[in-house]
Amino acid sequence: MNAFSYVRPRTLSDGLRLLRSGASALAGGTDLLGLMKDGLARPELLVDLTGIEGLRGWSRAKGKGLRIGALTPLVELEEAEELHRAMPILRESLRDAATLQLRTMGTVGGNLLQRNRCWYFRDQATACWLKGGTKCFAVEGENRLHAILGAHECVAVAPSDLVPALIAYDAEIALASSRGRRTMKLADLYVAPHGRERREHVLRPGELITEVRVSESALARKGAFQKAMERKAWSFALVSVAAAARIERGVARDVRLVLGGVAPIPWRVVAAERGLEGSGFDEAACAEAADRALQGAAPLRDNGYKLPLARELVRRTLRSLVV
Amino acid sequence: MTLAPPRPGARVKVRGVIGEPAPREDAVPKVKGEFQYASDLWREGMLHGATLRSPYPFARIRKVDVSAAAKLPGVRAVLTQDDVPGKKTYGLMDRDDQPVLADGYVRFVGEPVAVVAADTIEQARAATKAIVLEYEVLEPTFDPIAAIQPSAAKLHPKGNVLERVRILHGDPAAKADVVVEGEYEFAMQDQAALGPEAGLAIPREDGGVTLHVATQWLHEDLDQLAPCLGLPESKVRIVLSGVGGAFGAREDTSIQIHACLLALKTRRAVRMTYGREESFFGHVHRHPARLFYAHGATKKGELVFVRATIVLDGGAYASSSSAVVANAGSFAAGPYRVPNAVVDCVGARTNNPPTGAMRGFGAVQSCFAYEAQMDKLAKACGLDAVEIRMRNGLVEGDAIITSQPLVGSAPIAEIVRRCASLPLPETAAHRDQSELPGGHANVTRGEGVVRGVGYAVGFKNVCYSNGFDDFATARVRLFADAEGPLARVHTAAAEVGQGINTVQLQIARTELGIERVELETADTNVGSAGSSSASRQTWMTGHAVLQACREVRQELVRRAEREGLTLDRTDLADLLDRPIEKTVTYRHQDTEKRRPDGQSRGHVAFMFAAHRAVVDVDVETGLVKVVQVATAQDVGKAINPLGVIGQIEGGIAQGVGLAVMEELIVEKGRIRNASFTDYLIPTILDMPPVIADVIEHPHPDGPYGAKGVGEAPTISSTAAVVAAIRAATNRDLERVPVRPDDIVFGTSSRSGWRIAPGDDPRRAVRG
Amino acid sequence: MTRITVTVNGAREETAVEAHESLLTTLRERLGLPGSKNACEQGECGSCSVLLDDVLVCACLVLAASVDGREVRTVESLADGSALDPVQRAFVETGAVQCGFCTPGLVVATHALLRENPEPSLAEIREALSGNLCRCTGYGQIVEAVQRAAKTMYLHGLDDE
Repeated sequence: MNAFSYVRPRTLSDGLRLLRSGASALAGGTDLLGLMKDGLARPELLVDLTGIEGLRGWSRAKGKGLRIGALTPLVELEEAEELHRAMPILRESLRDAATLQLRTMGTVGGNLLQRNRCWYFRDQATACWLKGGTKCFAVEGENRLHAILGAHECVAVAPSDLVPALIAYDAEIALASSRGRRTMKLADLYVAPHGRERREHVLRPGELITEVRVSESALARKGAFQKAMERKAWSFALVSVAAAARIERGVARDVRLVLGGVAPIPWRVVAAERGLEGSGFDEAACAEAADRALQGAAPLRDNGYKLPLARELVRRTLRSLVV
Repeated sequence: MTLAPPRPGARVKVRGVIGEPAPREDAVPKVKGEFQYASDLWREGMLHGATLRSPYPFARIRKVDVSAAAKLPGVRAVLTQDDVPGKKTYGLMDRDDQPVLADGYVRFVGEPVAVVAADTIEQARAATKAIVLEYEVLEPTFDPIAAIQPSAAKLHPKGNVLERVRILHGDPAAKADVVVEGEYEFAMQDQAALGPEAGLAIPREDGGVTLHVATQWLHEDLDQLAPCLGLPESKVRIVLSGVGGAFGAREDTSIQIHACLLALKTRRAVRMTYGREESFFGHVHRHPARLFYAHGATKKGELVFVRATIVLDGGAYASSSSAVVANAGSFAAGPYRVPNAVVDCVGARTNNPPTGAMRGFGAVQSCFAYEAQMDKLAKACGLDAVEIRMRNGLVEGDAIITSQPLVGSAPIAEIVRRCASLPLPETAAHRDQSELPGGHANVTRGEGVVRGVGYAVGFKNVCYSNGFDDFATARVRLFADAEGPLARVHTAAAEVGQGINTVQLQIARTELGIERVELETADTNVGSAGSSSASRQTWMTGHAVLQACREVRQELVRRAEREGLTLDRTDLADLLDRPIEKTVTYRHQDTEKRRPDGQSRGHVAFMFAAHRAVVDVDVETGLVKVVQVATAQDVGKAINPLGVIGQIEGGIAQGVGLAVMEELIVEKGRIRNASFTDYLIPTILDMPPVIADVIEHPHPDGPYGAKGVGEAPTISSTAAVVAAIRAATNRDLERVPVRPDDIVFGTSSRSGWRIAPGDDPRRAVRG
Repeated sequence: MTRITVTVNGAREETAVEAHESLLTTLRERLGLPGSKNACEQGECGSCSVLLDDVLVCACLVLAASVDGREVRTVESLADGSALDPVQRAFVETGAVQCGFCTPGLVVATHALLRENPEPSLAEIREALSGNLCRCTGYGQIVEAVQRAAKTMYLHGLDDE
């Protein structure tokens, strides 16, 4: 690890003031400290946010939807029964996200901003395109785990399990920096690295996620999450699928379908959602949506299996909303 | 001298003797966190060592400049090949093979080029980065079959064929009614011991050095180390430190020579500990293999011939490739009666990471292929998996394809039958959702799930083979202190987690009839015990301790007789006014060297196990859950039943891991997944329940009839799991590990070489 | 260097730490508590599991500087002198220890489990310990140890009443 200074501010405004250039925000540390140990992150100043009051915990005020503080440990979301009743997809998506220890340490904000797991990116000795190099080594290399959809110069996949689940509920995030505050749709946070955008999200320098919000109307949706991984615990998704819809008298409205592990960003498939709108998630509609979800897929040498895998996972996830 | 009152009847029952389930003697410090592992070693004022490794698979070193690195703060020494005072090369089986530090060439990614000692580990690592190196990159060779063709570029002065074993048995041109063929691929597995490579070297006032290290074989380390340091062996002492698992990975040296060089140079204690990533680059792995097989049988399914060509990728340096090749070849036909066999087995030198010992040592690779072949044959002959194995299984007196007859029991039919009769698990419908393929966010609620059952049988030698002078020494000292008689057992056997220390204590208690037995720390102050490998320590060190104890006891008898006493009725303390010390070196019976046709009585004994795996496969997504593994294993005699179960279950876990998830991804010579995030080993959720039928057919030459235990569980469990997946999916699955892709698409991987089974792979044709 | 004050196994410790230092390093190299193990130092194996303010974490991914004023319990705190606690005893008796490198982490994780859930089902045991890798045992005897410890602690609890 490089040498750095460490501060633990007590207020958000102090924290934001400290997050100048060269500084990194530290929450659970489960991703950032690993990156720093591997020399992939080299902050001069580490701003430990865990002392800041008011960013931890969640609330659901009547009619105002759900608010989740960015510093809430993942395990707290997973264990709260009330939250589980309100939005079961949270527990479903979190329990396979990492080990108990890591879910205890890891926070919601950190999960949303975790870096990808591409082994070329994570290898200090490989100057891949995303790290400023000239080429993506995965395109012609070992790419079993890489993207089949939506990739440009970089074929790493979005790693989070929680994010597709939240996007299926149209989650918004609140952001703060020393220059002000803004909100955006969580889905808009992510960007497939391309051109001069050698990054996975559009967070501005010095900006923090403070809160995740899910509206009351979205909470009326039924959701489902499924994840295929190569062992039964603590393994990143080969493919994950989050689906949600409001189901009125057997008819689907506000359908959302988001895939993880297949593209550099959480892969929302609006075309498939539209096709399902008004359907009853019958077999034929789900199968068609599964095909649509993978339209335009361009598998690499070793990851073609993700196509049938994702197709089947989409079909089953959608079906599980009604069966 | 006072005499204890004669005790009526037999002696007081001694606890912790052989055959009793005995908790480990080191379990208490281990559960308390007090047990000292090599990476826990600490000395006031010690320095920290770090290693600079090659980024290239094959390159000539044009220039090395350490001057900038040496001037960095805290740096005490920077060493390259020029600074090695003695022999510049080492190697487990060939001392002239591998440079201590790169000798002008680097031959694999991760090859040590220079080592640094500094006040802190950060300073040491920073210094490795400040070493200036100029490389001329050379054209590497990664395909092991390409590497052994006559036209291939020579990667090392000793050439690219590390070993070749050709076995001719019976009629090489035998014909059969039913013939099945297959090409198989075996990926690279890692031992993945949790304890990192580590040690502490402390310079001595006499110019020598003491090394505390986690290793499998103290004396072998000494024999390699002392010449490189330019010291006589008397000036180097190696002490076993706590070992956090080994599984073969600690048979080769890692930090040993480097830490000692740095300690001698700086005259300071130096600790070296690899991190997890470096560990993956810093130890040998299991040989990947390509296997080309043909099996011939009568219509009734009786084997007529086996022909096989096996190419093992030895990587850049020899390590133990020669012995792994010999094993893969000798056991290439499995534990079956095979009248005619042709086997050609070659170990290739490439620019991949070096491979060497791992649990099962050559037997695992061929077992995967021959058991797949046996299932193919069963299908072709209309037999089931159990029948074909019972029909062809070796019985006592039968010879394997090296013409060695089996002595003691060879209960193949029995272990298969007993394994098959163990209870099967409940059907999927009755089970917990969490036991289905996939995680909590289950991708299935039972849909698409097909159950499969598969069998496999494996065997392997116990102890060293083919004329190797295999011995183990034990020193037993019996004396009396205020609390009564006390025995101290001193051997150099490496306790790596397998339980040899408890076995030694149990044997000493049994033989001496006393409970107070203690072990001295294993070190090189006593004779060699050989390696903790080849499932041999119970047999070898067990025998040595047993015999040393018997000599002690004979002396007790003599002393008792001199006093006119009966030993059984005498307090031993009364006979111990002088201690009794006996040192015994045990050698197993001679084994023959391999003849040019591969035939020999080359092994001292064999161990056998059968496995039955039950899997649930989500056939649409390719996800697998191993539901149960049943096993019947002949252990000869379970000296410590608790330890035997631990070895069986642990060995099976490594076999299951290889079957469905464990693979080092090596791309252009570089390991891509050198972490526990990317190199997956089974978690507690992945590991199924194991039902074990432990069979005790004593071997006439083993201590109390014991055979080895540790490797058999790993040898055929992989093959059984893959057989079960085949049964569920109807896919050929000719490669391990089986990946979701293989199940969904039925992908099989061809080597791109045409080799008729049994042919010399050094004359292969592309296509 | 930063000075921190931390309560470790009930004792107040004051020590200087580097900014980049992990709690695991501080415990092992500065406070003489090498019981928590350094198998991966990336949060992948659970061998360094400790309780931080009573919560199970991987000490390798906790910055030492961030534990100022907090409380840490490690495997070294569990036994009372030579008397093992029920979890430790169960691990010894069932053969759940082989090389033992994963053992301290598993013992601490088992404590965390049994405190929350004194009578865990088989599935709950597996779930709770799935962040602790073991390469030696195949986990069978570990499951047995946890079940035995749960039973002992339950019976012991009855004795207390």
